[in-house]
Amino acid sequence: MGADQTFLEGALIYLAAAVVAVPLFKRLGLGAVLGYLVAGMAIGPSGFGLIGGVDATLQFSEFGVVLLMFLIGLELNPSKLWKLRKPIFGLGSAQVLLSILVLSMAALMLDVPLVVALGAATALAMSSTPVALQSLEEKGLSGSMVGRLSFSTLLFQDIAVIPLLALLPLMGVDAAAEGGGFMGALRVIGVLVLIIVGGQFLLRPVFRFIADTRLREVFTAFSLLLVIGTGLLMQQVGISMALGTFLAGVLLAESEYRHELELNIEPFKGLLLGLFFIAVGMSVDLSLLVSSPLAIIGAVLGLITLKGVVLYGLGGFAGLVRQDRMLFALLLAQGGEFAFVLIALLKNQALISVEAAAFLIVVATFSMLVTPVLLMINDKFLQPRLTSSSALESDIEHNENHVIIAGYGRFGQIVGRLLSSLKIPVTVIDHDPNQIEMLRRFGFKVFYGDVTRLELLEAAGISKAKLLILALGDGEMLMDAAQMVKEHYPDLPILARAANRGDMNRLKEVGVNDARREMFASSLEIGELALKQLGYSAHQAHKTALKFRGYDEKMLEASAQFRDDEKLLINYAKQSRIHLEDLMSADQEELSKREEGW
Amino acid sequence: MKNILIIFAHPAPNKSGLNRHLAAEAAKLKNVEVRELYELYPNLHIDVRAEQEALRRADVLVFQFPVQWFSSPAILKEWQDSVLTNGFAYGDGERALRDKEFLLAVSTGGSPESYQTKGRHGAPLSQYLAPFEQTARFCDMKIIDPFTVQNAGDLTPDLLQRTVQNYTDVLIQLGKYHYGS
Repeated sequence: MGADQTFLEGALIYLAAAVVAVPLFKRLGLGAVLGYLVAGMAIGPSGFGLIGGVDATLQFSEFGVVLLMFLIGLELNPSKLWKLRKPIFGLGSAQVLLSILVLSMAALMLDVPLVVALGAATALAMSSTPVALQSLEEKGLSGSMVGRLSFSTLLFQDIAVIPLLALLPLMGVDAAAEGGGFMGALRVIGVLVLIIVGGQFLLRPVFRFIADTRLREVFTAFSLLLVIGTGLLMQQVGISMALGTFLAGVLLAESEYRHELELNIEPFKGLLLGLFFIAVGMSVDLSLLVSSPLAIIGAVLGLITLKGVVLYGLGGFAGLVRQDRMLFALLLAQGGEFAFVLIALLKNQALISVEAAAFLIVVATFSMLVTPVLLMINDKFLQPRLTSSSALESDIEHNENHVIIAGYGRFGQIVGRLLSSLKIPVTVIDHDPNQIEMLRRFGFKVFYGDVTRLELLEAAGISKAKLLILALGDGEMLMDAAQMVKEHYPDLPILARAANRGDMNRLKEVGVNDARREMFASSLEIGELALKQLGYSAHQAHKTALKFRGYDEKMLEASAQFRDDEKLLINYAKQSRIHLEDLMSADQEELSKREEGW
Repeated sequence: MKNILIIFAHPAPNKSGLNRHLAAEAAKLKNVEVRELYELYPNLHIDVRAEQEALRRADVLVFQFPVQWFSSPAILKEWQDSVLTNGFAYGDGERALRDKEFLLAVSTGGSPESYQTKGRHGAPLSQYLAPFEQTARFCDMKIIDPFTVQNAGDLTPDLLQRTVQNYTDVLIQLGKYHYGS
């Protein structure tokens, strides 16, 4: 029945399944990933059979993995990636080799032929990047040590797949390897150079040009175009799209448009990954489970146990504490999407039988399916017991104790210059591309984007900030940002620029620690200079201005109670003006009476 | 000719009947630099480098101020605290004021009689000026007898003119000869 569905009908089913299942599973504490998977099983051929075209959906949604890798790349600039070289190549290679070894030995003990054992072990040694990373993100552990080690291992698997895809055909009958190794490498290097050079010199003016139009959707379109373009280009030279876009992400990590790119691609990544999980759920062939349940359950448990033991041991070597080793093991013990690719390849090369291939794919799928369940069990039952014994390791992130200045126009700049002259770390957010270009030339670290979006503030490191200074010219935006930040980060002190007297009181009400009227200080200074021109001594003019300021601020504060009643407010303003005149002239009289004559 | 630096502290010079004239006439001498502290630093934030540079140029330092509450106006205390730093004026280092001459030029509203042990102000003026002279001494400066004007609030035009003349004469003399030689 799937074939005669229109695109919109298909979308309706997918979205409805996701919207029903995911919040439900999330509520039940089972995690979003499992929600998607079960939603997929429900609508797929093994469930209600509401939708067909599983393979096409799976293939299409694998692009979510590509976007995920691109986003991860954006978080890692080359120097951070370089720091990960040891876990990537040490831990990663150890995991892949040991898993292949252990899994194939187990298969050999079950009298599986050597070639099949090796092939299957290789396919199942790879873990599922989306399952692991999505679960980490759900737990908010992406930046933690487990997160980094998991990611490093997954990255090595992505790298290892390249030679495997090239090598496996050599073992089969069809030994015609494609492309010369040397020429292939040369092409890869050529593409990487193209991305570096393009990213450095072309991307910035193009982004600026597009940002200048202020059409958000064009910016989003360009972001997607960039990822798809680099992905396809990478695929052309024989690197997987995921690894290729990951590298592209790393190379763009230094770009100041990085955060805007992230924000634009993030929702697509989320949706496509959801679709990917649904597709995996749909592809579950329950008939095999019914016909040979013991073999499948045994294989899934065997796979997870053997891989888990390897991972648990390696986690110890990598310096993880006990409860993190458990998490690390469970996160990566499943088979992944590479198993689908590698098994299909093995089948095509006639290295394994069609039946064996179907069996392996079911095992891989089920292992992905049980991962969220195992993680949930770990969270609920294992972790509480493990945590009691050892303290949690916390990673110290850079950019700690920085000051975020949102809005870096003429106002914010003065604040920023003062702070940076004292070497206080300052992070700047602005949404004017011209401004950013300018600041970049002066060597500032600048984030481009809309301050009222929490994700941007989080990307800018608001959780580690010591102070937020809202210096935007747009009063409404500033108020929104203040409100949002106070809601999510109530302990973070905020200093704000106020457009006028009304804003002063509104900002205080929102909970801003202090605010200053943008024109007040400089206008007062002109007033002081005017007094001097009119014959006041410089010091008298200064003291008079200060006195005025003191009275004015007191009255402003007092006017807060009339904020909601315009009539009362106007009345109060009139009264206080008269009161102010009285006060000032009384002071003036006092002054002239004083004996300062000699 | 020696360079004379007058550090002039008056919170409202435009209302001054004496000091304003003293400073204005002094400023006409070409070897005299007058720095009017309240005009230069209305918010009391003193440019320490500029002040120290001026001190380096000078051979004679004059503090000119109306006595207020038996001391100087507030800014002159702030000036001493921030300009006469360790390493510049005293202690190890430059000792930039060593062997320069120091003159106090002060005016009081009170009469000479009131500045007596038994008078209204309880002590001779010199006692109130002692902290300034000790500051100069501590910086290895040579102290010159102060130029004082009392009853400064009630000077006749004639007396005012003579006082101004006396002041410029003192400065001219100081500019010519080294004290004590």
